[in-house]
Amino acid sequence: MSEQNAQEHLNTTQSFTTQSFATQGAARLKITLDKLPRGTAAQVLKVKALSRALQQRLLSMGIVEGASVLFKGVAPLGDPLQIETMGYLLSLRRSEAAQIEVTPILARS
Amino acid sequence: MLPHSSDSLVRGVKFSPTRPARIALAGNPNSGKTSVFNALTGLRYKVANYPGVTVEKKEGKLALPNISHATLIDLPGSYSLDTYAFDEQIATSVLLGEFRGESAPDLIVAVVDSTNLERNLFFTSQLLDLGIPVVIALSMTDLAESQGISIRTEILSRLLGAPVVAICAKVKKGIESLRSEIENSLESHSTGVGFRWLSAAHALVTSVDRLADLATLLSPPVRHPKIHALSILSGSQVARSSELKVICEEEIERLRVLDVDAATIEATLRYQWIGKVVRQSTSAASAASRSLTQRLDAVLTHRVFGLMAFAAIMALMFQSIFVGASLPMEWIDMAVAWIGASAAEMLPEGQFRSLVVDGMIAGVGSVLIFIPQIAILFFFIGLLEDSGYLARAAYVTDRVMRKFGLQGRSFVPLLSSFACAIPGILSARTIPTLSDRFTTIMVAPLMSCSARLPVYSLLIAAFIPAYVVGGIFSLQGLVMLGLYLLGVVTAMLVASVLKLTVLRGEPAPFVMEMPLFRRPSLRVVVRNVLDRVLLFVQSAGTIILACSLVMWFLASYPRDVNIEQSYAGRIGHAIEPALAPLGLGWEVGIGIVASFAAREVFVSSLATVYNLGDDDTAPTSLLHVLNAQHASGEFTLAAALALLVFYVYACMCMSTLAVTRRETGSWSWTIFMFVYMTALGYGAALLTYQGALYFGLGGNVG
Repeated sequence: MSEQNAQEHLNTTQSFTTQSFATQGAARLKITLDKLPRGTAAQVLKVKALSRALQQRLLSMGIVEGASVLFKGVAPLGDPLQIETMGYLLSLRRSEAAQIEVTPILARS
Repeated sequence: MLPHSSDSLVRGVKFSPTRPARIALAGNPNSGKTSVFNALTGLRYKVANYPGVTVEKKEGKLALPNISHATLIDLPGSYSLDTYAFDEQIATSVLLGEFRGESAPDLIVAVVDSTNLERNLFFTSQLLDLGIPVVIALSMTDLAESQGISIRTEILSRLLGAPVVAICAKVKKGIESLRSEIENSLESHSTGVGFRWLSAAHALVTSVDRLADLATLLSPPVRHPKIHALSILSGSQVARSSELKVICEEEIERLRVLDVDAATIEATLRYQWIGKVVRQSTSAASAASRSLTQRLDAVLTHRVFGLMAFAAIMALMFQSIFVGASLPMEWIDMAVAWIGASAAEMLPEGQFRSLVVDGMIAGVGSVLIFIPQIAILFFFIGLLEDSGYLARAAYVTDRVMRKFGLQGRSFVPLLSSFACAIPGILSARTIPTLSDRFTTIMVAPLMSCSARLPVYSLLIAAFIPAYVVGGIFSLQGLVMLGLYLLGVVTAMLVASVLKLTVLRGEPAPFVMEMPLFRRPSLRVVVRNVLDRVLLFVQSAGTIILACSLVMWFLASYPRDVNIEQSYAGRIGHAIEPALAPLGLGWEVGIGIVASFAAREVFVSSLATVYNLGDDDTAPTSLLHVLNAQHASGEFTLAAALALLVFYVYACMCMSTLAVTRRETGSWSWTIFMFVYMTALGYGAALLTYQGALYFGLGGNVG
C-alpha cells in the first residue's frame, strides 16, 4: 500500500479512532494487515472478523488487541501470507488478514 | 457420601483409589504432546476412535509409583477450549465432562512448548479455570535452551498456580518427576485457583460474576458457571435460560458503553496476564537459533524454489508409494498364492476348499495388499508432519486448492489417492475442518489409482494404435494421460459443486501455525505407521473381507457351472440391456460385476470369461482376443473408449467404500459416493460411446 493511500485511509477512518490502549494519544496510521509492506512490524488495533469462527481462531492464536505482528512473506502463488507473532510463525489468507486492523510500528527493511 | 453408596455412585464424583484414575493429556498441536504421551505410557497404548465420530482416541496405561491403575488419554491437539474445529470440540467436551456421559478427567497434564510459551499458555490458562488439578509439562526444554530461552520453573509454577515440570521428552529427562508430580496432585486433589487472568479491577468481572451467580441456579446445573458466563458473553454459546439471556444482553450493552468488546476482551485479558507471567519467569537471550527455520523457509516458501522443492518432495513421495510398494505387494501376492496352494493341497476338493482358498485366503489377501501403500504414505506424512514441512505444503498449495472450494491441507490426501484412494482417504484426517475433510474424501477416489492401471493398460494396448504424435508423444501415452487428467478435472468440479451445495457453510478459517523445522523423531513416525496399519486392518479390513466372501459366492454358485451361469454371470447378462447403449456385451458385464470388488479383478475375470467361453482349448491371450474382437467389429473403439471413461469414474472398489464408511462415520455419505461416481461413470460412458459413434469411430479401425 502506498503512503498516499494509507494517508487517505487514515483520513476517512480518523473519526472512529478508539481509546484502546494500542492507540493512546494521537491518531496513528491505521491499515489492514494484508496491506502491510513485507518486513514491517505492526501492532494489532482490532480484530473485526466477520465470522465468529475466524474471530475465535485469531484470538486464540494470539492476534489480540495490542499484539505485535511482523509481516514475514507471501506464499509462492501470492496467497496466503506468513506473519510472526509472539515468536512463532502463523500463516493466514489475505482475505483473513484484511479483517485485522493494525498500525505499523517500524520498518525493518 | 452415604456409607452404603454403591461403587457406581462413587464414579464421577472425585478420584478415589478404588477406580482407575483418568488423566487427560492436553496441549497445542506441535507442542511435543505425542512424545510426552509415548514416554509416559512407554508406548503401551491402544488407538481407537471416539464412539460415533472419527477422531482418533489414544489411551494408554500410565505407570505411577504408588497408584496402580491410571489411564492416560491423549486428547486431540487444541489451541482453545472455545473452538469451531471439530477435533478440538471433542477435546473440549472430554475436558468438560460432557462427552457421552464420561465424567471429567481426574487430572490434566498440560503440555506446554517452552519455545513458544505465550501461545501455549493461552490454552493452559483455560485449563486452569476448569477446577481440575493441572500439572504442566514444559516440553522441548533442550530446544529452548539452545535458543537462549531460560525459564525459571518455580516462578512459573507460583504464577500459574500449578506444578510445572521441565521435560525433554526425547531423552526422558524429567519424565520421572512428571510421574511423581501427577501422583502428588492426584492424592492432594489441589485444583489451583483459576481465573487469575481475570483481574479484579476489570469491568468484565462484574458481568461474569452476575451471570455466573444466575447460572448456578440453573436446572440442570451447569458444571462451570463462570465458563458458561464467559461463553455467552462472547457469543460462542447460547444462554441456557431466557432470564440469563436478558441479563447477558444487558451486560454486553454495559460493557459496550465502557468501550469493552465482550467477544474479544476475554482473549485480550488472558494474553495480557500471560505476557506478565512470561516476563516474570523467563529470560530470552536472542532469537538467534531460529536460523534453521529461517534458512529453510527462505528456500521452501520461495516464489520459485518453493514450488520446485514442493514438486520434488511430492514427486519423491508419490514415486515411493508407486514403486516402493510394488515389490512388497508382489511378495504379499505370492505369499497369499502360496498359502492358497498349500491349503488346496491339504484340503479335499469341494466347496469347503473353494471357500477357504478362493474366498477366505484370497479375501485376507485383498486386505493385506493395501498395507505397503498405507505404510509408505504414512511414513512420508509422518516425516513431513514431524519435521514441519506438511504445514508448508498446505501453505504453498492453498491458493490453487481454494479455487475449488478445498484448501491447502487437501493436497497431500488427493495426491496420494493417485497411488490408492485408501491411504488418501485415511490421510484426510490431517484436515481440521469437517466440510473440507468430507469434500476431500468424496473426490479422492476420482484420482486414477494404481488399480485402474491394469485396466487402462489392457484396453489402451488393445484398442489405441501405437501412433506417434508430433514426433515424440505416443498416442497411447497421451490417452493414458488424458484419463488421469479427466479424473483430476472432474474431482475439482465435483469438489466445487459439493462446496456450493451440500457441504456449504461458513468458510472455515485457514489460519494455521507454521511450526519450526526440526529433525523428525523416527520412533514417533514408525509407531504412527503401525497404528495406522493396525486401524486399517481392524476396521476397514473386516468389511473388505466380508465383501470378498460375497463376491466369491456370486462367482462360484450355483455349483459346478462355468462363470457365465454363476450368479455373477447372470448379473452380467441381466445388465446387458444397460450395457448395450455403451456398445458393450455381457462378457464385459461379468468383468464389471466382478470388479465391483476391486478394479484390477476386471482383467482376470475377463480372461476367465473368454477362456471358458471359447471351445478352443489353447490358452488365449486376452490381448489377442480383444484384438481379434476389435478387428471383427464385435468390440469397437467407441465401446473401448466408453469402457475406459467408465473406469475413470465408476466407484468400483469396496475397500474405498469401507474406508469411507469408517472415516465419515456415515452410511449416507458412503452410499452417496457410490451412487454419484457410478452414475457419473455410466452417464459419461454413454456420452462417450454415442459421441464416438457420431464422429465415426464405431466401425472397424483399420
